[in-house]
Amino acid sequence: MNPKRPVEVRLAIAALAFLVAVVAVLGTWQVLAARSSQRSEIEAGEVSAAHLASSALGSALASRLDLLSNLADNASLSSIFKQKPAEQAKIAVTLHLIYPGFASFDVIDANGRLGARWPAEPAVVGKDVSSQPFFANVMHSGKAYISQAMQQNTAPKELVTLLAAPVRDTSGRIVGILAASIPGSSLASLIGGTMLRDGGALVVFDQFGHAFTGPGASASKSFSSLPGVASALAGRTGAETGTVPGYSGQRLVGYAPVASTGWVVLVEEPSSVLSGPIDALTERLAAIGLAVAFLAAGIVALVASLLRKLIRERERVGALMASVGEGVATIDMDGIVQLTNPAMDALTGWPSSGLVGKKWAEALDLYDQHGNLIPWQESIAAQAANQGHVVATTGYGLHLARADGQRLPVAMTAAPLRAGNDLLGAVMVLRDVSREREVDQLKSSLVSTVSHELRTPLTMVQGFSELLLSRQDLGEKRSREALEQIHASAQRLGRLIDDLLSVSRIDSGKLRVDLAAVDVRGVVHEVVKVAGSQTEGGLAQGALFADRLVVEVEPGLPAVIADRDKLVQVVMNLVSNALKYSPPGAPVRIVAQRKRDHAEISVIDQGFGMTEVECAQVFEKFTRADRPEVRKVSGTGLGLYITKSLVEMQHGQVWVHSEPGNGSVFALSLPLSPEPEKGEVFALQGTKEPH
Amino acid sequence: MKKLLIVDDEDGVRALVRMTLDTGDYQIIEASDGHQALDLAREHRPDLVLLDVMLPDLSGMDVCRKIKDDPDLASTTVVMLTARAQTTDVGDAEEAGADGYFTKPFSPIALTRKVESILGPTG
Repeated sequence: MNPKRPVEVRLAIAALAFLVAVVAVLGTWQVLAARSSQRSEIEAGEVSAAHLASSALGSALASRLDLLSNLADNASLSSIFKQKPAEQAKIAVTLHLIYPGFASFDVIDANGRLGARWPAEPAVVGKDVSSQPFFANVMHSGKAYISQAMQQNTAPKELVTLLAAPVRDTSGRIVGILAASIPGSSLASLIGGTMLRDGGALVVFDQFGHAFTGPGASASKSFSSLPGVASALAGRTGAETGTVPGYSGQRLVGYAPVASTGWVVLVEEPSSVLSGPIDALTERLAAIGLAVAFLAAGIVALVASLLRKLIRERERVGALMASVGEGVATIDMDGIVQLTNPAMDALTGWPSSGLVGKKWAEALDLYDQHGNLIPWQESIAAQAANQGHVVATTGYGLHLARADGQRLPVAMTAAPLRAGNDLLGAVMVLRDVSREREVDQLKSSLVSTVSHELRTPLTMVQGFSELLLSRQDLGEKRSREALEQIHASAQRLGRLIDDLLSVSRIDSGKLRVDLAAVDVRGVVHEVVKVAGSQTEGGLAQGALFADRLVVEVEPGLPAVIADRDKLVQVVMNLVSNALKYSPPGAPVRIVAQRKRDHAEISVIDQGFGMTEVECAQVFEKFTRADRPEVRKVSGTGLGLYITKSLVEMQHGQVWVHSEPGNGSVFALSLPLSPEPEKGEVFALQGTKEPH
Repeated sequence: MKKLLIVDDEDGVRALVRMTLDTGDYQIIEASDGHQALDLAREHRPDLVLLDVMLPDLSGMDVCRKIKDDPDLASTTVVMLTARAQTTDVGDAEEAGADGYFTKPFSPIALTRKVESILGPTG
């Protein structure tokens, strides 16, 4: 059996197989019971047949023996022995004519000489039969006698039984014996109407077990040890199975002793009669059983195939539901949850399928943008289920209360669930929009930051230029100040636009780095030259930054693998920040040194410093510490995000160590290059360190 | 001479306002944050305060409220200077007791007129 077969199919097959097995067991049990009862019935019939036959034979023999005794016990017959043989033969003929039931009559005198026989047999007349058992028995006992099976010595040389009775004279003395024979073959007719089944036979044995009839008939061969014969000779009546002489195979034998003779009657049949009809019935039953089993197997195959299809369909729906990343649930018209997918369970925080069977409105609380619970009647699920419209939420106002109480911004679509024209309920699709909401908030914060950062320099450009244009009385000094302000504002706008472009290119992956061996000393000097030439507030009268910068580059520091322009931008960013966020006049150190296979560039200021939380967020987009001293300094919160992105693109790392009030150390490390920077040989020869 | 207090954390904005109004008709005082503004207001009792909404330490609205709550400064006119032209800010400004508002970017000429209309013509 296919081990992948779904459990339902296997169950159906097992159930049908079990049913077929039960029917088979019941049928077999019925057959066995019927077989047993039929056997005892047939055996009883056999016994009663044997009993009836033995009774009939016994009474027939007894009546013939009585008849013969009455004939013999006739005083007038005693004179026969005094007459001549011819006269004796006449009497034998007369006896035959009067009593035709016997096959022969013998007249024997007291000396054992056979005087006459009918049918006439001259050869035996005058023979001495005194040695024969019947003669001695009759002469000795004086009673009539039925002999064992005897072989006739004259034609037709049949196997016969001899009935013998004494003949007495008037004084009661035995003067002779009258003997009459009954052929074994006619014993059956004495028994008369015993009904035998087809293939059955009736066999008569004498007191020594000699068979009178049948293929084993013999006066010399004894069957007294045969099962049925032995039992009957012992005086019992019954039935047995065994072999019977002259008959093939096992035979069912009913046996009974024949009264007063010591004989035995066997009624036998082939033992197949015991099981014949029941075997036929069994065969029919087996055939029916087989047909039923085939039919059942067919039904099993059909049902299994249908079930498999159904299950596969269900599994497909389940797999589909499971693979959908959004939470899906269906409800019926009463609002009871029918089905959920794993994403829905994860979203709602309910354990697997814990929602199923619960009322949607009771199990899940949804809140509007003001934090008010939305009643079921007003929910979009109810609208979809009751009115049959597809309804979807917009924006990020809808919140779902999870099982743990946490509220999650979700977007929800509810659609009616139909079968034809019938409305069955609704299907809801829920999606966690936390990320979208964050992005939306980030977008708002970007717009707000950028518009503020744009508006302030714009205000100054507009304002100062208007003053220059409208007021001729400004004087040279003020006019110059106005122009400087316009210039500084324009520079500030330019930097903002550069930053925004950088972020846009970093985020879209369009920014490329061109890595080569770069001399750190050259980079630091370039940064110091540019930054140092700027003044506090970007104004002409401001102090030069160059006075605040201290450079310490380790002698013989090898080149690093970097993009020179990007590295300059990065170091410039860190130095500008350090200058911006520390008090006027406070020194800023730029330290470059070798750390194993990396070069580390640190920018160390004596500014406000940062808390641990601020340090953790400082490299994120649009993140600025929310403190007065930071807010005082204009900034977009983009510089360090750009710095970190650029350093990482150059396979370097950037980090910060800081404490509030103790300044900050921003450091970056870049892998060392095995070769020096090309075309910058003079840098290696050492230039004068500024300050 | 009328006294004028300019409160803005941006040096450039203060410079612009100063240059616009520094015609010799007003005494101009400058503050770069809320606390400094309150200190200078109490010290100099200006006739007009041009107050930026977004200050590093306090919100401009709070500064306005504090000025209006101070009995010594009750006669001071406060004009909010805001980068946002949003109606919520206008409402907040009224609520905080401001006498008017002026949005950035602003025209120096318009600002001059506004100040003149509040403090009266110069000269």
